[in-house]
Amino acid sequence: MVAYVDFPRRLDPEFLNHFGARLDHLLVVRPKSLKDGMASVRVLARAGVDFICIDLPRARCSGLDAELPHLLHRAAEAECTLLLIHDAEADDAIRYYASLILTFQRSAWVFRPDGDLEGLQVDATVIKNRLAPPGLKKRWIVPYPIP
Amino acid sequence: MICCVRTPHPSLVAAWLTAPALRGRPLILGGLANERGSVTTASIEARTQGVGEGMSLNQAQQFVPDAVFQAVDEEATARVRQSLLSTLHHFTPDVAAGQDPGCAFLRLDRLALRWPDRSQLLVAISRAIDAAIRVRPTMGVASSMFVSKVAADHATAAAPVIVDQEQTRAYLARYPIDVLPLDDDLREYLVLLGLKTIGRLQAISRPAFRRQFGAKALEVYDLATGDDRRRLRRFRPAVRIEESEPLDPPVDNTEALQFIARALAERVSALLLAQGLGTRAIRIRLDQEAAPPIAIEVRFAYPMTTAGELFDGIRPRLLRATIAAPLERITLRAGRLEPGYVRQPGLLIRRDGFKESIADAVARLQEEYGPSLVQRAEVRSDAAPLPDHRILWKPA
Repeated sequence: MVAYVDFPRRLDPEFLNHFGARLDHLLVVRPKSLKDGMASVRVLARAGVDFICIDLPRARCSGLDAELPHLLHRAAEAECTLLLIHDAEADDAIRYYASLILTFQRSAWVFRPDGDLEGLQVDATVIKNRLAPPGLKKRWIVPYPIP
Repeated sequence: MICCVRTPHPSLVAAWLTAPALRGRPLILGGLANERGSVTTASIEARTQGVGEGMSLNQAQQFVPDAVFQAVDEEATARVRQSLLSTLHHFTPDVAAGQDPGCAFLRLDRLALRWPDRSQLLVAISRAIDAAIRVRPTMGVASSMFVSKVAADHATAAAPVIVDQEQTRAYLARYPIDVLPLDDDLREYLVLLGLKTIGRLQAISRPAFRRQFGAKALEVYDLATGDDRRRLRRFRPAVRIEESEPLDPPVDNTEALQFIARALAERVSALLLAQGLGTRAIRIRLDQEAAPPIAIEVRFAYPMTTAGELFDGIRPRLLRATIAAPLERITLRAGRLEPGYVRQPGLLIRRDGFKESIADAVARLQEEYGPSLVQRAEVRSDAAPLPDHRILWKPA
């Protein structure tokens, strides 16, 4: 079971469905405040959700620094993996507590020979890794769904 | 075999328990003689003089001028009813309350090993009821609820009536059709046809009866032949699980309150475990020093038993409670009790794919923050290519 905490309300289930995601195993949490969202994550992690993705609000979220240690403790206790998505540069607290930090950069549009849009070229870089040296770079194409 | 135990109306028994001097005197319950109202029940002494249930109190007074008139004590009546059923429940858990007040049924099949001699069992039941509510019941034993009730109606306190399964038909044959649950039309019709006893009714074949009176009347025919398919609806004795702790000196901070609530949750959990029960609702009562008490209800999706699970539900509600004055006492009461085995954490996956613990967590979050907090998405591939049409958001 996977939970997606969608602060900015931008999750597109149809896009996930296109890549074969099993939506019946996905819980979407749409909290009104950071506090509600963090309480939901703690409760769900403790209840046995295996993977929780937190899509953080676009604006810098005050209070996250204080919430993160509790959150990590709960997640570690429950053997739950946390994935945080942030638009801008990560906060100090996130940079400190994260085991792995990846940055994604859109580098170009990709077109088919017939001129149709095929997808998006993305560059990923490992910024922090507690298990291996950082700095690895990869480039790949995220294909667009064909209607 | 099923045993029907009949006692006088519980309201009468309650009145006798309150005032034993009323025994043996005509007693009419329903209100005072000068009040507008009807007779709820009357003692046998009043009945022999013509008083019946539903009769107006004025009319009853004209029949029995020297009768004692009283209002029904509902609480005492309920206590007598509970006491009767609890007494029978000590013999077997297969106990059911009958539709008539003062009537209860027991299934005797599982008591054969403990009580090989049935007459001794009936004596023991009679004694136990006498000790509990000071009344000797009449008892009938037969293969079905209906026949046992008829037998109990025609038994005496000293001599219970036992009807063997093979003799059921013959036993019922002697009684008039009035013992059957007939509506007025059917009774009138049967009497017109000269069918005044159950024996005459039994002489007709089932298909012929159905042709004449319709499918609905077949239930009556089946009862007349001793075939009663009604199920015994089990009585469950009331269980109250409650723990309370005075706070001396009064507490006005939530840290101390949480500490005490945790201890109470452990005590409630121990009581639940001892009885193999789980609770689906914990009612918290916080008595304040100079303000009305605060009542909080915590609900669970599944029957919870362990202290940790109970406290997980209690803690956030305590933290959010608006406490106006120092607290004098905290009480936890377990409500909506269910057998603990209903819950098999981690073993069973629900039909919707949730583990029980996740379902409970989701229910708790939705109760706290609203149903729209946790949702599930469904993509409708056949809908128009607009996000609002193609994606269906549903509360999880």
